[in-house]
Amino acid sequence: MNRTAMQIILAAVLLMCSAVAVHAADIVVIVNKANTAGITRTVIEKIYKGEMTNWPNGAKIEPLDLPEKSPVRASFTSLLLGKSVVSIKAVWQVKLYSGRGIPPRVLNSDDEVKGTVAANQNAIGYIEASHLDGSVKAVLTLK
Amino acid sequence: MKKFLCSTIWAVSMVSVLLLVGAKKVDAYGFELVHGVNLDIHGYANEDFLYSTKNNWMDAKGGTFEHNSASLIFTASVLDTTQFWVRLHHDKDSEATIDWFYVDQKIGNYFDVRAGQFKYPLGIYNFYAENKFLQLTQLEPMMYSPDVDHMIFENIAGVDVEYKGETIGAEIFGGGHKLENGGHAKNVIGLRIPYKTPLEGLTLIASGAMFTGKSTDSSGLEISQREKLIVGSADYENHGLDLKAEIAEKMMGETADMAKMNVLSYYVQGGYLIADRWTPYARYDVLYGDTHKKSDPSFYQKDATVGLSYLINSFLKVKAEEHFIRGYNVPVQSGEVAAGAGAKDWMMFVAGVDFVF
Repeated sequence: MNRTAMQIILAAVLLMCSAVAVHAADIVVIVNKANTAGITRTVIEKIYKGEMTNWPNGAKIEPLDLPEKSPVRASFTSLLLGKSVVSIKAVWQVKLYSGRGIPPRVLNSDDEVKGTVAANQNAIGYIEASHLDGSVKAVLTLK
Repeated sequence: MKKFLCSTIWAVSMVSVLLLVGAKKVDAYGFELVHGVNLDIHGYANEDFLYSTKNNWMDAKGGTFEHNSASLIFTASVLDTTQFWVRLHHDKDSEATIDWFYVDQKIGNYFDVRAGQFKYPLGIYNFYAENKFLQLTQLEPMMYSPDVDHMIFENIAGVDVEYKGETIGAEIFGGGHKLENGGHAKNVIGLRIPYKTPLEGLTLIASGAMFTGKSTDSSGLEISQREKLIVGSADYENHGLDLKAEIAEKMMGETADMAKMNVLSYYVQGGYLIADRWTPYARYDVLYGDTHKKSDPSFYQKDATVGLSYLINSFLKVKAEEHFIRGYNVPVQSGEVAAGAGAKDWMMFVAGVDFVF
């Protein structure tokens, strides 16, 4: 009986771990292949906190987000900025309603983000690493 | 009654429109207006219920729903570095008006130059004082209350140059504004310096302005007026904790032909976000309408507030709070209670629904 109970608990723990592993999938930050700017983690942090708005060549940066309920967005926000989606959204709302900045555009899926980045030289976005292909350039992997 | 109906219908209409728009897509409302020009539309609205036990501030004695506001913000982005901002605003005291209209020219990542009519860049809250969704409490700190005359003014028509440094910034602004009650225009020059401390989430801000202009006294005599405002602010937001403290002092009547008067206000408030939904909060807020009359309850107001907010989703929030108040300077300033005729100790209950998109 005890052994069966132990097996059930072990199975449950393994299932939970695998669930966590799904949420913790690697995320890559992507830009257009023609983008030659030096893009470090610090630069990306600044872009997604609204502290950097233009590429070194003067062009407006067009950051892209995924929907609020997307687990990829939750992981990205947590891994890059160390904050929850709600916290970062609040930062952007203050900028927006103060008349000082417009939040990143929200697209519905990794594919939309990838397609937009591939077509727009000034865009930057993030997707799950497994969706990466040769149409865009990866500049940072978040694990 | 007519005013109540009009404002309620306007607010309900606004909320309905905003909800309809918001229901589709909560995060983004940008679209390309014409080639190379993107237009973003955002907005917010709130509807409050207020109940005052004694003094009739904001018509709250006996309870009122006549306390609402709504705004739409339009942003047109032209080229890569130029934005035009316009805000259409309506609240219980005014018809729908365009009260922001300015151009924002970005120069690299560190400089912004704004020209037109915009919010006074003073303190923490003044930029978004009307947006209840973003505030911890439903009633703003008294230093920002539109009923508190001569403290922090709302909009300036002029120019603002902002330097956005990594840890320290600077903003210089100048121009003027005209008082809504038909008073004379004031000329203004001011400064705001935010400093991001090494402690993550803690920002200290010093801001201030000098106002000069002319005013008319009760006998119709025109008098010179000079006012100085200084505001010190501390803002900490991290790990779900939201702590704010500010002190503002306005020194008025520094010219020979006007009696000196100092207005002083300070508050400290805190809230803690639980499970990304619930935020219990508290604030202690003090206002002295004239520091030379600190013992007269007509000239001071001390407000201890406790409340709870619930974030229904990313664009809808409800709040309920109780205010335990001593003194009644704000109802005196708003003209709803005569000096000497108010109740010293009283309470006010406020509940509200706040919406943004």
